[in-house]
Amino acid sequence: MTEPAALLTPWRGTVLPAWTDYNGHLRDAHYMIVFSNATDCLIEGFGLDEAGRKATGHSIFTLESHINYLLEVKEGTPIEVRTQVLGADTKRLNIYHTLHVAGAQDTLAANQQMLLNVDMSGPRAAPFAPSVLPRVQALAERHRGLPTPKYAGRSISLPAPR
Amino acid sequence: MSSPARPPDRSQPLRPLRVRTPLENTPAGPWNPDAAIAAPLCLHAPRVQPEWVDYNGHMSESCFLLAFGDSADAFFRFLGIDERYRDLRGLSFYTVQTHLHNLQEAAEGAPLRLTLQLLDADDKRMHLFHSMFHASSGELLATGEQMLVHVDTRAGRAAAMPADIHDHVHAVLAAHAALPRPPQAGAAIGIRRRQAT
Repeated sequence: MTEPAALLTPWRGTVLPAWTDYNGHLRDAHYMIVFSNATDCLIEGFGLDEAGRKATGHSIFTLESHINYLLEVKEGTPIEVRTQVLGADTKRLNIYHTLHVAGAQDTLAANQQMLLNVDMSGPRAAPFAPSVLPRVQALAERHRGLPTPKYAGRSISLPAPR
Repeated sequence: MSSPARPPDRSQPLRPLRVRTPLENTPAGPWNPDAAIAAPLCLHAPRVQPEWVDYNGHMSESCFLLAFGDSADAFFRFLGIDERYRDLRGLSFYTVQTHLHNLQEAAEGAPLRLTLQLLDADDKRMHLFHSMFHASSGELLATGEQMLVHVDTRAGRAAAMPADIHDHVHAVLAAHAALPRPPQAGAAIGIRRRQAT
């Protein structure tokens, strides 16, 4: 059971009524809100909270995001996002979130994101600040041996690739 | 690094109660088989709403998807899919995959123009490509690629489209066949490193 222990759980919450559609299910666009919240919490853990963003003049932008919707989830359900770092360089971070009912194994949705560190004075891409980079690298190193998750690196096509 | 013991509360709802889409309860109009189908379709042109803007001062990525979803809803109604279709026929389209490219920032109040291109379809799936432009500058701000599956909601499984909707979808596909394939379509996410020479 080394794999679950190594994953982060940056965000826990509940499916809010405001995120649901006519039949009380989390709407497709609102999975992205949940995953964005998880990314915000993750990068706050790297020191890029509001104070850190002000001190460094840096922020994190999401360049690309890929969601696989797997199961429906209803209003009021306690949920959590688990996160694996797939890769990092000096200014980019490739992460993989999965959404679960709190404490449960089944994956409700998977989301891969490519994040870019941005110097807001440009704005332009810039290496992670010296206070941030070691934390990013330490986490990437911890996750290096984990298996590549099922829905990472997917593209969309018809018919679905086998 | 360890995960925060108590994650910050980010539970502010974007809209009150449940999600209400701009076209909710707008019945689909009649299909006109003789009308030309725009390539691409342009069915949605919102402004960036104040609640779509994040702490960086520009539209957040989840709200790009919200706008693409509203454009898809307009497309459904163009095809003849509305609340009656869902409630009386027990049929709907579910999104199974989404891939977003966030290319440029969009500031609060910016006028947007969304286009929709049907890349592919079979008897139960549609492969859509959304582009979001700044309506004044024409700059491409974001793209959203989606795979949708037609579902029998009562049986809870994928089901072929009925003949009328199938015909409409394939009329759009034919109208869009000559459009160039967008460079962002079919992309997978990964860090690309320069090859050592």
